[in-house]
Amino acid sequence: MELAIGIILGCCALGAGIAMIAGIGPGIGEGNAVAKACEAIGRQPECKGNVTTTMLMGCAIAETTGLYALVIAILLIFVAPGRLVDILIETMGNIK
Amino acid sequence: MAKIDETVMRETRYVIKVIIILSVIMEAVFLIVGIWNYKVLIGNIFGGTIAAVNFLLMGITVQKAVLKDEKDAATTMKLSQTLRNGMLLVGTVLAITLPFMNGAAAVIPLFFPRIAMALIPFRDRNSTEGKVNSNGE
Repeated sequence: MELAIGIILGCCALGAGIAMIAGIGPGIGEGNAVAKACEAIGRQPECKGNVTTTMLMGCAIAETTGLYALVIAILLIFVAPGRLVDILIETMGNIK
Repeated sequence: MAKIDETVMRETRYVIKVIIILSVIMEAVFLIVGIWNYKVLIGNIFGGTIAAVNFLLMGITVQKAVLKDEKDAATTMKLSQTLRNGMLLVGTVLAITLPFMNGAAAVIPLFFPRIAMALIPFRDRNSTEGKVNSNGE
């Protein structure tokens, strides 16, 4: 029983860590978007307002992916272990 | 401290408005479902504030980054994203662990800025600028 609970907790922690890999993507994407925006503003400085608005939209949308990963990781750490251990105990009780 | 750009302030004001409207709708849904209590309200205020601050910080970073050269701008943005992600992580963990806050009510408002961005075309359609652009002039 202890071994099973340990495996559940370990897998949940591992899953949370793997989920957070998705947090790398938005950083790279936003960085590239801002770099290209710098290039665009350098070419046409009068478009700075429009470029900034569009870039803010893009950054907010890109960041949602990281948020999904964050929420999944937090659910895996705080919610999933309790539920899974309850299910395990229930199943073991039924078997006995 | 540098002055915040008017574009960033305008977009932040718009995002805050959408967060407030969607928060009211969320509270109403919790009330209708029958699970509303003061914890939901505190969680909602906390989550909404974090979402708005996150967007404002992103705007300020963008405002500063566009003045730098390409490589520095990309690095600044990546660093900012990492730090803001850390802030969101701390905020979400606090919301889930603190007993006087509803975790779900705090996490859901973090997605409201994304919804606000999805609604921007509808806002622009109503504005004069949107009308001019839609006429192709």
